[in-house]
Amino acid sequence: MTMALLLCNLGNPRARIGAGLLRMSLGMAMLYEYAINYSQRHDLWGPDRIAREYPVLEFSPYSWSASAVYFDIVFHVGILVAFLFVMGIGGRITTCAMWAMTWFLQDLNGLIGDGGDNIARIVLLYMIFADVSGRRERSVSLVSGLLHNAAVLAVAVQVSMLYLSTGMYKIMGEYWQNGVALYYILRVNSYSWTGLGALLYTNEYIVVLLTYATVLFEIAFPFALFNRWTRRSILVAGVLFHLGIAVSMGLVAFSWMMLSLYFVFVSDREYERVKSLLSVDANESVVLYDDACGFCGRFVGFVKRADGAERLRYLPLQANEAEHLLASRGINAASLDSIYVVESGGRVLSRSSAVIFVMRCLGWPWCLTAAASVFPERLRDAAYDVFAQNRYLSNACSVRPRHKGGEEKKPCARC
Amino acid sequence: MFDLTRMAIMTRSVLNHRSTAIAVALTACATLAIHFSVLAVYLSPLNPLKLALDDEVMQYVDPLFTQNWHLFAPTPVNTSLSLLGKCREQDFESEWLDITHGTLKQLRAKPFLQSDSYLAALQQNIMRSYVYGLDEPDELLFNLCIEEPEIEYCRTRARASDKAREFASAGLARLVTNACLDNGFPNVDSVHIRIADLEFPRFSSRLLPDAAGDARYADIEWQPSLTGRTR
Repeated sequence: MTMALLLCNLGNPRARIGAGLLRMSLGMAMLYEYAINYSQRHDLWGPDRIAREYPVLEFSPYSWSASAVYFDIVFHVGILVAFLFVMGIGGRITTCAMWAMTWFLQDLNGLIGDGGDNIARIVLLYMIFADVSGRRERSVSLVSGLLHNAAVLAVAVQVSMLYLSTGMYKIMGEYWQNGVALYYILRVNSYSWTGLGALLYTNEYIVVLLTYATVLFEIAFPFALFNRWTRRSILVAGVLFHLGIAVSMGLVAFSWMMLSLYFVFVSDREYERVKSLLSVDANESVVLYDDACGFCGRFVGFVKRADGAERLRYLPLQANEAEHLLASRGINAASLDSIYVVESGGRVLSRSSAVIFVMRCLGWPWCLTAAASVFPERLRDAAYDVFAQNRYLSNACSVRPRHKGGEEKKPCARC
Repeated sequence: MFDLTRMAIMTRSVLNHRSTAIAVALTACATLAIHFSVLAVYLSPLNPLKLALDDEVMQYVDPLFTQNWHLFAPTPVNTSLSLLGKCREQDFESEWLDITHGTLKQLRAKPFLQSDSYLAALQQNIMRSYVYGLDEPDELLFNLCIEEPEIEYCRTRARASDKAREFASAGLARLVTNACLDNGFPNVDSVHIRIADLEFPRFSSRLLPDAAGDARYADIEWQPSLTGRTR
């Protein structure tokens, strides 16, 4: 029975959502590469390419004919395969074809690929054994589950070895030991064209800090990834690291490929928690706002336009109905010190929690503001208050007569 | 963690196919262990184990799992390479064209589209291959081959490096010829190639402009134009 439980555990497929996201992201990155190089495909990969002297795989379909038309046919088959891969059509056969077409294309010109292309080719091979449908509810056999987990583990170990290997080589280098390596990298013409590197490399503190942080991150990655307490921290560090590379060195495709791999390092439970955080049952919820405040009015106007499903109702705090709604829950609407949301279940949210709720209702991409929920509510509310106070200064708050009677003027609510 | 229904189904499946499941699990574990052990040797810096197993490791790794994670390590690239070219068309000879500058300018104009990023990488790698030959990340081996170039390993590397330079030379001719075609020389018959290797100011002089650094030039004198494009 112990053996059966162990096998159950080993065969219970992990990171299935992540594997699906990896498939989509990696496939889109490949489509991006096909697209941006489309007009130069003959110079880069065609039979009369610039670097044609380098040996290529004999069994690659690209080397079966020297005709430009034939090359174009194979190249477009590669694009079609990448599209099918992104869409999740064809299952394992498409994954297999995707790996082969990527390998054959990269093999035609080994001088243009970077680390991202390299790792993509290797990971695609592992992905053949994984369930990359992204559907967690889909049942798989025990053997398929075992293979899937082995493939996910292989991706994790491969990425860990990548970081560890490059980190170990860096430690051996004098420039890295002296903390100045980043200066040289960011100043090389082929990585400094964005112009952003110059903002970093002129500051010695930034150069030394980022040089050492790079080595530390790469060496720490394998140890931190497989530790439940440090996994999330190292993943956040990795995301920042690759976004930094994309922006400062202009290596967009490389960073895209690398970050695609991170999807499998997030568990299915974590994805489901994020999903529940981003989605919200907004039906019959009421947003109460200060109608006398110009900024609040514009914010509600924006929400009304963005809420395509029209699930929210809106009431000015000055309306009698709003006053009753809040009074029945022990809140004095007259204080006008916050935006409120009264959920269908009766729960009342105020200040930053109310704003986050409203943004979550708007769906993608506005729901991403729900990430602010990770901060303590008191901190969020303090920021809300600071913003509201600055709003007074910006004269965004236009005081208009109240609905009831129209003669009384009240201060703006902090919406 | 997994839910009870799934666990029950899986437990039944395990009990029904116990021997198959054990075989698959053991095979998967053994395969992963062997695979990543070989990769660990392959990716590690130079050490006695790597030297002893080099041939066997390369046989397994090449071509499916070849990797190179030391573009910036141990020594990061620290010079800027620029490709310059002159075009000759019958009796007319052009001024120097700064081909790399043109490509990077295109990249800067469309930073997120990156339609010239691969071309830029190709230029850089061909130039680096021509100027520096094959990359040798292990300092120990690099120094060894300078001191004792007759060792078999060093001779093989030297031959491979010469081959890389020869290939790069043809690639450079095509890059310059294509630049000539793009710059109004449709009948270019010969090209003059120059690689400028700029050692920009070192860290202690980081506020100085690039021009304050030292430049070295590698010239490939006039040679017939070479292109894959239809003229």
